[in-house]
Amino acid sequence: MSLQYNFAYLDEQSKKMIRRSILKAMAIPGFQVPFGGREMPLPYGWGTGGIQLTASLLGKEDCLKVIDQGSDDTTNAVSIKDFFKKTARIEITENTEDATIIQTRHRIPETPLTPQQIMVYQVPIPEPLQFIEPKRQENAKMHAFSEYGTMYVKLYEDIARHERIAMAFDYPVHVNGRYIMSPSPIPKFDNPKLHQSCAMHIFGAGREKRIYAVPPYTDVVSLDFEDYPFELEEWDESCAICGSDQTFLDEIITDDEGTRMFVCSDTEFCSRVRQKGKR
Amino acid sequence: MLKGFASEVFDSQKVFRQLLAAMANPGRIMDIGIDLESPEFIHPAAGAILLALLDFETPLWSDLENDSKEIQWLRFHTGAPYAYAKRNALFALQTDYDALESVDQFNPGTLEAPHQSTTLIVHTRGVDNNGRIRLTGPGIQTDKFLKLKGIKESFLHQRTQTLKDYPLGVDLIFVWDHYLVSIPRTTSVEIL
Amino acid sequence: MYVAVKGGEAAVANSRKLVKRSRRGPLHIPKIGTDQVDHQLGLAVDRVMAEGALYDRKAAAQAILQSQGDMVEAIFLLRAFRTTLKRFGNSKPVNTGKMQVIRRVSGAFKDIPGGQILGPTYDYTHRLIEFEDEPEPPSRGIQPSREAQIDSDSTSPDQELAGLAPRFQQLPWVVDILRNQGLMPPASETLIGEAVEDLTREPLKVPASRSIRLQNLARGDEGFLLGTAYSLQRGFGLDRHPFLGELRVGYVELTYTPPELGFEISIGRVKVTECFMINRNDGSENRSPGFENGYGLVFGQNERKAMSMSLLDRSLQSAEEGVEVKYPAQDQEFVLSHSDNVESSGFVQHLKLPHYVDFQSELVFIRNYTKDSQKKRKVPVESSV
Repeated sequence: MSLQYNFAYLDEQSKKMIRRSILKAMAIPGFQVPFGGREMPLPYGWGTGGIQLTASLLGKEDCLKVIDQGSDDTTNAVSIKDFFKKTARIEITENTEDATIIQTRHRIPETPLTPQQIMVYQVPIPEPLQFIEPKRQENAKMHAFSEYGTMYVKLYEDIARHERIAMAFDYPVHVNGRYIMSPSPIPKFDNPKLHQSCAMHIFGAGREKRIYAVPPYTDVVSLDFEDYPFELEEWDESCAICGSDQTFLDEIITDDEGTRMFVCSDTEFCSRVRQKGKR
Repeated sequence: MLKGFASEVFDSQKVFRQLLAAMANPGRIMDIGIDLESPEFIHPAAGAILLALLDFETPLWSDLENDSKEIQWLRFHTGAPYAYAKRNALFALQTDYDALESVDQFNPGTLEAPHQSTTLIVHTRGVDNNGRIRLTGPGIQTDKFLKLKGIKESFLHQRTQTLKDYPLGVDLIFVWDHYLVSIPRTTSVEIL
Repeated sequence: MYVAVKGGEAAVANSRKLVKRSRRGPLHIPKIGTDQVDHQLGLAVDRVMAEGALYDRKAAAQAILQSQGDMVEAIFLLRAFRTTLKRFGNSKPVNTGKMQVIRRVSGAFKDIPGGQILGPTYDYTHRLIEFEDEPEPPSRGIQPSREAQIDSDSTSPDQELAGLAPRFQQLPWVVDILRNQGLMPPASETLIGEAVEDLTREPLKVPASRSIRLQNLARGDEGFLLGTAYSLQRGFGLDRHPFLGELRVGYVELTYTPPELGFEISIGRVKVTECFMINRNDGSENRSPGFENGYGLVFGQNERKAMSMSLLDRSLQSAEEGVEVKYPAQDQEFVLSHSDNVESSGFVQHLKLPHYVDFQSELVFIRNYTKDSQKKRKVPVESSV
């Protein structure tokens, strides 16, 4: 059985439907637009939402970067890049500055984004209220009427129990003063990069069939309380490879005794800083 | 019958990306980025947007007649059904800017489904960034100025009345020749 | 000096090679072809087509081979293939009343108009593994099975006279007997001419219409449907024993009206399993007492699935009928959002992907948290009086 798949795999009609959803998502920042998500040849939970977005955005002149956990070389990032190499034959890069589209899972690059860039996020659970109210009928109403009291109650309970907000990643944000949104499972360290960003950010959840977006220069505020402000992760160490002390660090266990070292999670950023340092 | 896109795959992709940039950056004037010959009463930018986005699932309303060659051209290339009522339209094309008084009769969506609203494409006599219309809101760093030739001030005032209904609303795309500029529902408009 | 781990690309390439090798197995063992899978593992093909939501025996057989017989993986392959196919129109609703049956049983009545036909079933086989290879029957001179006769397009009039059900002739449904006696509400209006909602083009919304629910269940995972239906039988949602009104397996004709022709043509036939499950209803304010039925229809021969589906079709009507929704099998959102194995398999298994960034955030949180609480514990506690 020989078959010619369309450019970037998806058929044109599916792309149209996804493109219409992206435009609506951009017009209503933070609102989750339901869309007729298609089955992709990669499994649900492995980036099908992001892949459908990228497939609908891509043109011949685009330069694509795909990262997972901040790294270009993680197996799933490699697999997704392979998919687009095969189906769209576009240019692939590891260099953040060269990319026009950056598809990511769980990180925002350390290199500042540019206004020409589009960030595409793979989202497992788009609903920030999912673990407070799993029923779609109910949480849709909560968004409709901005009834976010239960979310604040949950944060308040955290503070009562732990004297802090106990969320470390997928930390909910308030977008343009209207919708509470999941920034996808990025560490809260990356949340501030969304606020008044010059790039556009599009989020795709394939299994849950939703698309949402944050346009450039839009307020994205991490939820907090006046007396318990939003706080970022901090490390006492700096990166063992490039020496950066302003980046998100991964912990590497180097021997059986559990000796630890810390390195940048954004591998491309790290190697570039190191190259510069050598010169 | 005029032909549609020279390349369905790449022209519709190009037009979409230009439109996306416009929608994400209200007030930024974008070129459609392709050559397109559209029928007499449709600007190429309007034709390109509709060819790129319409299909059999998207009812289109227009002030052009259902049997006009413009609508026939769009239907031939996209299969989009013609909506006789503004309320039923997912996309709308207003070519007579003088007759445009308000967005009232178009569909603003619902609180649970604000995305099921009409996207209104409006012809103008020209667009540039040297006008008295001041835009602010998401997608705009500080502010952006716009001139929309032919568009009545009263229309923009009426539209401002609908901002309080957010997230309900109608997203606007103004076109002239090969150019387009968007004013989505989140954008505040002042006339200085 | 530590160097960041590289080699993802090589690892992925090697893993793909290894899959190919393990799929083929030792080269001295002959390769299986799709024809063999289609005919000798036909029920596997049936399941893959049902949950893959595409009636294409050859593609399903290929998918089974390509996934080494991992059914959920094969279903996934078929679904991904299905998305890329262009749709050219909707067929007319099939008339299962005119099914050319190879098997038809009722558990509710001893004898039914048109007769019970046991047909091919594992129900009365003894599950003894036949280690001895069965001798191949002589290829000529034996009466072909009923199914083989129906299956072959060259069914002669003689064969039909020899006891085969006439092709696509109306065979009455058992539930119609109850309907005619006023013991069961009439069948819902036919859908002919109406626009059909399509689960694969619009995201699922709950409460969902019955048509969407049936589409979801027909594509749903057999194991999930079976387990959920079983929970009903064990009292988690049913308060009495259901009855099998009728189960039929056979071929139905598909017809389509091409717009350019303007008249109906037959475009082929598909094998389906149809099930009517009967439940007693003692009546309530807005319903008179009688029987209700639950409906199941799946591609291929899959009785376990069709029966589970018909039990769930009934229980998912609970909310509409004002019955309190107490158990998972009655809850539309619970059943419909979790029935799809392409979705669930992907999401459960995505945990294999690296999550070290998120886990690092958790580590930082817990370390800081424990540090702070230890500090607090060191503050001398004033002795109570």
